[in-house]
Amino acid sequence: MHPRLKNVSISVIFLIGIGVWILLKVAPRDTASDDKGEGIQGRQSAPHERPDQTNGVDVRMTPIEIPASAPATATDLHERKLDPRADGWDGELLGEAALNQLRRILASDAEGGGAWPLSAGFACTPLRPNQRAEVFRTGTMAIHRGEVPQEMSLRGEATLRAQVKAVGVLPGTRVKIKIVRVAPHTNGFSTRALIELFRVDDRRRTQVSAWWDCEWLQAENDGSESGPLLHRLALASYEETVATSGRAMFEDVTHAVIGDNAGYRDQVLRGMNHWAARLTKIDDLHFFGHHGLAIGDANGDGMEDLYLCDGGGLPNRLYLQNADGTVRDASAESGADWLEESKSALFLDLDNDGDQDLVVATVALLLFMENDGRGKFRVRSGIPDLPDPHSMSAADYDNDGDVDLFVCNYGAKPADAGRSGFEATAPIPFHDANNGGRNVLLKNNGKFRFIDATREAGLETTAGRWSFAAAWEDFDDDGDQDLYVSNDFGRNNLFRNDQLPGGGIRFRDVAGELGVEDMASGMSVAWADYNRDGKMDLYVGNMFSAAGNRITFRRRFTGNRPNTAEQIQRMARGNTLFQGSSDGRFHDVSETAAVTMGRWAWSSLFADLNNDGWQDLVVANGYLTNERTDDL
Amino acid sequence: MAPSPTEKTDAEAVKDYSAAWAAIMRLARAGSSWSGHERHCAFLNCGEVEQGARFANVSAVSGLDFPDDGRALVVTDWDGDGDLDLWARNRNAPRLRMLRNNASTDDPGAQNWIALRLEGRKVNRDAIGARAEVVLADGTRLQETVHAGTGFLSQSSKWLHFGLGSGAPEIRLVRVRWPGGNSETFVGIENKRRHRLSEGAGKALLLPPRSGVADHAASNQEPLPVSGAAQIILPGRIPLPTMTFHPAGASAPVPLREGSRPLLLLIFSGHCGTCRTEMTEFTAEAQTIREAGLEILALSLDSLAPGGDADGAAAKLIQETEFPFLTGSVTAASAGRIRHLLGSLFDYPAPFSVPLSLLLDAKRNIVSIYRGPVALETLVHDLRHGVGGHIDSLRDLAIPFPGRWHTKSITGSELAEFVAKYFHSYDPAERLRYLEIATTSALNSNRAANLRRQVIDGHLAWARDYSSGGKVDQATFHFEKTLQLDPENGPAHNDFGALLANQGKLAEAEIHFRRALVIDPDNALAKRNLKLLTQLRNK
Repeated sequence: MHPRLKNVSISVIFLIGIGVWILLKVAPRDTASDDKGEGIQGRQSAPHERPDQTNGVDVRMTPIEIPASAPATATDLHERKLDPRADGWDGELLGEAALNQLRRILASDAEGGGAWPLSAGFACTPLRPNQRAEVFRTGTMAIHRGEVPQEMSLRGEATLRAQVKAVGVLPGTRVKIKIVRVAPHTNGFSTRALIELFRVDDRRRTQVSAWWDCEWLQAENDGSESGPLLHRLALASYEETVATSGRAMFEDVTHAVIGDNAGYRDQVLRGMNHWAARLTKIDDLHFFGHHGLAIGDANGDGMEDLYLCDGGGLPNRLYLQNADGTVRDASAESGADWLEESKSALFLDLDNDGDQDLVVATVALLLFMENDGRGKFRVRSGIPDLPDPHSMSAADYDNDGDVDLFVCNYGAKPADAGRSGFEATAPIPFHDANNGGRNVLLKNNGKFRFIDATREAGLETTAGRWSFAAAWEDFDDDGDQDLYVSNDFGRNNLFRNDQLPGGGIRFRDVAGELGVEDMASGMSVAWADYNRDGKMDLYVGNMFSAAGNRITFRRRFTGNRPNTAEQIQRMARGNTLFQGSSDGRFHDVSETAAVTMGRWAWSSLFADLNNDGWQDLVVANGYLTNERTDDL
Repeated sequence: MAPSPTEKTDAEAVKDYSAAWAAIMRLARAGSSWSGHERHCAFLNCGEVEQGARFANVSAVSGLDFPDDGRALVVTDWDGDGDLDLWARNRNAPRLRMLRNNASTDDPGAQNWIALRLEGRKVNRDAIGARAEVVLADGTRLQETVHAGTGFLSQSSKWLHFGLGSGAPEIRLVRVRWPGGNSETFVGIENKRRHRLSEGAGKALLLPPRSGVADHAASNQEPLPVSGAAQIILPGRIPLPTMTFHPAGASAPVPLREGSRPLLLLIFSGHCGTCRTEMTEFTAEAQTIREAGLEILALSLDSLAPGGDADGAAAKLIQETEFPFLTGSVTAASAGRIRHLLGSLFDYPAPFSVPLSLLLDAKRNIVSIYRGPVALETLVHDLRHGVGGHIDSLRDLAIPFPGRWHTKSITGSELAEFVAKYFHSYDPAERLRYLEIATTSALNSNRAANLRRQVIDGHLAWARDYSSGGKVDQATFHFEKTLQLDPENGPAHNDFGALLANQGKLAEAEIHFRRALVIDPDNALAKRNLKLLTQLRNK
């Protein structure tokens, strides 16, 4: 909802009214006086019992088309152009044709199933290298890689069938194919494809990740049903991982852990599409599902607890952990069951009294809540009118003994927009946008008083970068906290914390000079020393788009954009791993480390998954899975 | 799709590019996936063997590769068994996964670990920003920092977890560099244990091992089936869009007017079996419905279908069910407005389908929306608590679970303004109507003045539009409306004068040009127009 429609409760208006909260203004000021947050405890919604809230799927409804009366708008015209056939991107059709042919060849249950689409002179390399070496072994997993064969020594369909079987395409194998390059030439085209296979046999779990380079001959009479013929197939990279633990390393135990709680059925087993068809935009319910998680010991019993943010009209939940590892829902009694759309939250000891206080970024207010030590929270202060708060990251940037907070504001919220984010304002220019929201550095002045220190600290330059996430780390080992900010449409920032000679702190953006601008679709950021050289490294979550890769490497695309093509190609490359070095600079090792393909990545984190002392990587990804199977 | 403009100032390009974004999102909202069904990734650091080189893709073998629309992800040794578990937050169902790590149970190479919770005394109590370096007897050094907020919308545990590799590692010490740069060495660290390291203590406090954690069974979380049917109470009362219909037997459409009782507006098709079932039920319960104080108006959509209601299915349905309430058929424009309103209120709107009913209060505000059939007891409940209840309770009724609000409910005026926006390009007349409602129901004068300005600008823009399109009557209507609301609007006087002059109504035109010049003697257009008018007369 747009800010003018949003009535912050009277008590907050009072807080603003006394003239202390002048955020987004020039000079940082001491803001709230003590305990004026009392009134923002909120109002518990009236309970109600409404009959017939559930609906079976068996209700049959009749869809109705109402003839359009209005002329086609610019949006309508674009919708038509999104079809590559109408948009002139024939390479997309070639990619689709190649994908279909590879699917036929890799259909794991198609024993027989007709002749494969191969050219008369078809030849290929072995698909599973004969020379394979175990490159790494854990207690339960073994990783094999092979020398990539150079010679196209194999011919004929029967040979290919044997190869496909040898690589593990058997009944029950899960096959995933992504075409990431398409290049047309005179009588055909070439593609590069990522092939991923997975199968479980008894106690063995096997995964193959391979790159295949294919040459295709376009069939004589175009438009024939048979499609292009595979002429050459070369293995470009091969990795095989076998796990022998029987069960997977990670198992979903959610139902056992929280299934007994009231919110589980409807807030976990229903997705955002369900709610976005029922709860209105009036209360800010949107279908993007940008709702965060925070881990902390809320009630001081030594066990971790979980706080979940949820959409407008759905209460945030606090789940306290029981001794047996299950959870109990303490949302209502905790006082933190906010119904306003909430993007993220952090457990932090804001007043250094030994318990975990809570910051919640709701659409109307950034709420600072004090913990009574037993998991009951009371609002102490709130900051209204942040344009579009997303991820938050905390650290004591001024080393004064309390933690401060950096808040990423993704979109700018124009006063007249009912929607937020990129639907209200398109990011411009796409590869380096600067018209997003203004990020905020909130300095902790004690007693839950926070002031806007953004400009004073020199962080004003982050304004408008469509920031999704940020993370603090003393990357230069000088004793103060530096900040990396990940921006969705273009270059990221690394703000070095510089102490001014006369006192005071000034952040300076050194992303360019240290090589971590990472012009891409930044979604997340994490720090760790992955190579154990003592210097902190960076992993940035970005978007990998197969279509983006196909199109942006086509000559038709690059030819029109001599200056920006490479930058836009980079937008679709995927995640980035920057290796820190002793001279302060970072080196982009993403491709040699083979960690770019995090797909459409969101949270991308370091974690030593198998206790071997080396930081591994985990990536949560995927954008919009809807009912229709086609993908935009 | 349109390329991104490189400058914000390139207005046409910006418009085109924005429209392209809108088009993509519109397709997604119509059910297309966009980078959907993607599987999460896990990359294993091959460490010593290949220092600085490739990670191994273990997404599938690790079991992490759920095909969810992932968002937040947090790392914590939730159950204290010595390996890092994950909680994942998704967009689609299941929206939450607790992914238990089985490494410390299953993997003989994953048995050595320590966990450290740092505690500041002089520095911040959470020790955020502190870095711990674990030094093993064999010279291995591992370091981690306490972070608060990494990834996307995520906060992982503030416990530092160190895997120590296989074999029998000997922990020599842990060196903590506190924020600010002071270093402190801690001894007394034991393998496979959790420790608290307090600033200044020099020695680790050994915490008791966790016990009593159940062996939770793994299971598939089956999302609940998706249904198109829904009974929705709105968080505020939304004035019904302009609604006209043909009453049964009448050829001329009539507007739906305010009444003395609430009304269930039921939209149906003669070809819809569920509609028939529902209307049969309403027939059987007619007395109860009337006693509850409710009227029903059932409007068919069949005449809008290509070919119209040729087979008279709607009439047949009404006849066969002996439907005892008012009936008729809806006009295309009215049906379009209702579809547009429903499509605008929800971020992922359901396809427009019947039966669809709207519960209206006597003033013809929408209180609830029923997609699919509605049970009588739901109707009775919503009549009593929604239509009959206090306006502030609507927002509480609209939500499925209790919780806490810190914002107030939307006011009627704000709601009307909210809806007005959605009619901006679809139906400018309807937009103005909602803005007028917003103006008259505004609770403070500043807000009212603001809205009034929007209404005036809306009428003027429209008057000009009609004027340049040669639609004289409509243009005149809106110029008059503009000047009625804002008699001192100089540009409106000038433009209205021009319209009149072009129709040959020179005397009337002159009055408006002169009025424009009284309001602003420097109005160059009005001056020029007046001069042209004089020349015209002299001819």
